[in-house]
Amino acid sequence: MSSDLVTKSLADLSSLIERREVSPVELTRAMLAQVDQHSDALKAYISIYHERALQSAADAEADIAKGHYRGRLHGIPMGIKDNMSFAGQVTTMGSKIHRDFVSDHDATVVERLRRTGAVFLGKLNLHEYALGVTTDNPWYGTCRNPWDLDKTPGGSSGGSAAAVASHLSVVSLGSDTSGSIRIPAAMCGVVGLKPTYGRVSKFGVFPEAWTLDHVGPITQTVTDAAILLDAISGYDVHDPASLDLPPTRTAEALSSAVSGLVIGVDDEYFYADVDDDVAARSRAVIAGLEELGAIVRPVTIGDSQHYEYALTVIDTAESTAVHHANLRDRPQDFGDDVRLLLECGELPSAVDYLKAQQVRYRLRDQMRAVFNQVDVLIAPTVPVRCPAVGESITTLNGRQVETGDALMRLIGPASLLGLPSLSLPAGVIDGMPVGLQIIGPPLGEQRVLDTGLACVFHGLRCDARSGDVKVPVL
Amino acid sequence: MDSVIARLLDARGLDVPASDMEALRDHWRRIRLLRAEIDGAQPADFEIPLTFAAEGHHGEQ
Repeated sequence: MSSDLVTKSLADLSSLIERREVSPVELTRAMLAQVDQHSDALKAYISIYHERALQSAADAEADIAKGHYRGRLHGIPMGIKDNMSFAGQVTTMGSKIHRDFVSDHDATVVERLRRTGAVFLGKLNLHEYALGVTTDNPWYGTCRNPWDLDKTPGGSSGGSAAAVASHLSVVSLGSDTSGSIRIPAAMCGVVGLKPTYGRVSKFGVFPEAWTLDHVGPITQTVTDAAILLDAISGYDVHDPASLDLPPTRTAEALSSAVSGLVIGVDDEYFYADVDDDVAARSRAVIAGLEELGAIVRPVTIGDSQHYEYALTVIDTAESTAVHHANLRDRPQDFGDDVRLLLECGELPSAVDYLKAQQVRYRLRDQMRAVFNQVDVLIAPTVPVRCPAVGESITTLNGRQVETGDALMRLIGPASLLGLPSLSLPAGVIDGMPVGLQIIGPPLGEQRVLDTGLACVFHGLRCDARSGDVKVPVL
Repeated sequence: MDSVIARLLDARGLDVPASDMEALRDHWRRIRLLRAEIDGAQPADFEIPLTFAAEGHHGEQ
């Protein structure tokens, strides 16, 4: 019973909890047992809250018994990426420098989840300061991919994705600046949603790059992502970047209708220099949608080198601005790769940075014109097969490429332009998941979620739990 | 190239290990190449304004 329970989706568990067929305490106990059994091998968690979690679960159970059911997250156990503050508890940012940092306030997204009655199992591992895409963490251990422990889970939200994929967390939150939700979601065979910039508050989330940071759900299913987005989104007075909009209501409006959906495909940007089998998987999904009545249209979203320049300069300069004093005063307390990245951010001039913002504005206008013609863009999330842990060079169609650059190459447009982007499992190649990304216009979360749901609903092999794709058994 | 990088890092008060210099050099070379390409392809410098709001945003201190 317990092993079946931990594999269920948020949507299924919430129905069982609401009907009082499953106890939040029983569920939390089962989940903690799973965490205790597997977390050491995966290094998915940095902190585990055994007693607090069971107390929260008991509180949830008592509330529900009195008829005070708060909604679909009430009594649901989950881990949270350890760059999101919990009042009175340590938030390490995956770093040595902040290993004893305790905030006096919750991050807004944490506060909102507390109000829903969610149960927090602990804090999840990440690449140090979210400044990397492998979750090779020198201070808290290298996170592993539950599909193959010798493979990377991706990053920086590697712990979040690995935990959801291996049922050490029903759902999770990640943060995404240059792919840190989407890359690990693709590598671990789960759903990851980077919302529109400003849709979800970043207050209390340690900054990576202010104008690129996003917070979003990592889940087993599209429906679960919608439920979690609805719970955490909406205007926050504490976040200057927060959009003055109410919370989304995507879960209740989800639709799998495909007829008339216009899908944009940029072959030059998203399909050139991509692993043949990875590209084929994405194209097969598009073909499947076309058979169901979608329309496919070729588009051009902009020069890849312009995206690369703008994203690299903005991301590195803003990250280094966050960490400059520590980089100057205590460089030895960063991991080698993070220190090097921050040194890179010291190089661009002010004019380089402003040029990057000009490029960003121009690409945004170009993309606006694209979304006047299409509803969504569909592409592979990552152009390579899942690399091994510690592999700085990986193979792409027989050619050697730098792993970090390869993992980040296709997520650039949605990152730079703050567009909603959903990474969806798109099958398995050589025993490892691959993902595809569905990108929408600003505030187009409903559209990307609906398209994702359509891919799953119509049997396009976009559910890691369906068909010949097996959830990893540890 | 090395002297440029060294001067920039020194001006910022940083003590950079020698082992980082090759990667920094490669990174900087790439950024300069990309910037040169963009300077050749973009409209004139003055034609893309960057904005600021005088009233600020909610939440700013």
